Amino acid sequence: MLEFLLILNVLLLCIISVASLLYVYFSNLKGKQIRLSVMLESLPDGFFYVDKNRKVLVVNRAVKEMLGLSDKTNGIELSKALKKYINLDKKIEEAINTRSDLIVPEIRAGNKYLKIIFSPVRDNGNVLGVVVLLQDISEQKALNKMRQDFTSMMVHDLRAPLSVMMGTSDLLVKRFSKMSKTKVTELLYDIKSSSQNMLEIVNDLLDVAKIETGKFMAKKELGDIGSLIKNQVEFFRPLAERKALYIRTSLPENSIKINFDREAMSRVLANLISNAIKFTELGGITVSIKPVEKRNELKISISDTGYGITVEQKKHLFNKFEQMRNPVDPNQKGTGLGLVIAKEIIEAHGGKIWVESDGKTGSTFHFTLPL
Amino acid sequence: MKKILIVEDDTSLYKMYVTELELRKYNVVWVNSGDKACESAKKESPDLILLDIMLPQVDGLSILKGLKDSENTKNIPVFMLTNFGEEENVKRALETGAEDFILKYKIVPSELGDRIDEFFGIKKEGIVINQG
Repeated sequence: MLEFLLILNVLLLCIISVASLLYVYFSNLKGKQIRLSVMLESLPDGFFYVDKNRKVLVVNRAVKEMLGLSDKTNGIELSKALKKYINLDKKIEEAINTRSDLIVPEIRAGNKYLKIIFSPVRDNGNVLGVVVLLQDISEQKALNKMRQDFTSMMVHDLRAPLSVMMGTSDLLVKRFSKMSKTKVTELLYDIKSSSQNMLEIVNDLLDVAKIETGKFMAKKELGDIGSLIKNQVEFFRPLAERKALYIRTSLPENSIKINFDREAMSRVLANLISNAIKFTELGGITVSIKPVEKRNELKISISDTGYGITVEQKKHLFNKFEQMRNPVDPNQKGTGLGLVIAKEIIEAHGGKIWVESDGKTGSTFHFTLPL
Repeated sequence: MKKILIVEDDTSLYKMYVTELELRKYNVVWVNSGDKACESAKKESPDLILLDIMLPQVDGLSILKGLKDSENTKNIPVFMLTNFGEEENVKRALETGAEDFILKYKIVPSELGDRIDEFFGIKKEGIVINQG
């Protein structure tokens, strides 16, 4: 009897041990499954699996979001939804037969552009199914389009002064004897202003290239920022007056000496003031300096009474490849890169730049510089 | 005297063309904005229109369509004169009825003048061979 009880005890212990081992094993397995499922759900890319019987399994959240499907969408419904955009069965077949990854570079699904990768899952040489990855490439595509539009606009903007320089000089060479002195002077002036315009475009493009390669460094020296502002305002006064606009400053009485890159800061001010003049038809421009002592910085503001900047325009203002066109004269010269360059210069000084506008009655560009 | 309407917003380019064309005894009329182009074509009834593409208010391709859709202006020949040489623009312009598509940066005023003379059947020396 004792022997029997001992054997029973041993057997029970064995069963408990095996059960514990099995419990730990299955718990781990379950844990792994949960972790895997959480990982798949949090993937930004769409993921689903199609077995060799063409049954769609394991569909993550991103797939449903990308295709605008409800959370409860099952495999069959997904398959049906995808068929609108791509011959899914054919691609799965192809991936299984070729046993290699198959990439569909671009499909349009509603308002989104997707890249699809079909990747066969192999086990000992047998294909078990196909993993399908969906990547939302809409943003990338929009950026590429913006780059293309920008390049095309730059090419156009460079060709315009080139056409004038080439054509007008040719005209002068061939027709000089038949022109009055006034006409010749006028045409020579056009060549001069076109070459200046071209130089500005090339300089902007070179500055942006410098920024992109991280080569821009602010060469700071102690100087009077107020006097720089006064110089810039005087430089632009004739341009403002030609449009019957006022241009004034509101500066502290004493000089404010800070460390800044004089040449770079002149570019920032020139860009902001010339923009203010360009986009204002009535009223004028005020440039002011205000020390913000508690933050130990200077706030420089350029206000105008122009068209203003809408919320939508504000979003793109400091973006490369996007330029604001003048609503009255969309062909005004300029690369639109000035604000991108200004932002970089201000940030290299440890400051920041932003704009305030209600979209109707003018706008104010502010930037800060550390004291 | 043949009349040419130039639709061009860039004053320097216009000055360059008008100087050459007036020396060739053409009567040149100018509009610098897209919205005035069709109206001016109707009013002036030119023998030829030189039409830019990138213009304020209305673009050149839309103007071309407007000109070709109107009974009064559909028979006026149009030369597109632009720096936007994308294939799509050329195709669209020629399909809409433009006679020619000229890239500004590839042509100097004297060559443009020769092309226009040739279109009107005028020999280089100024002898009219076909009044068209």
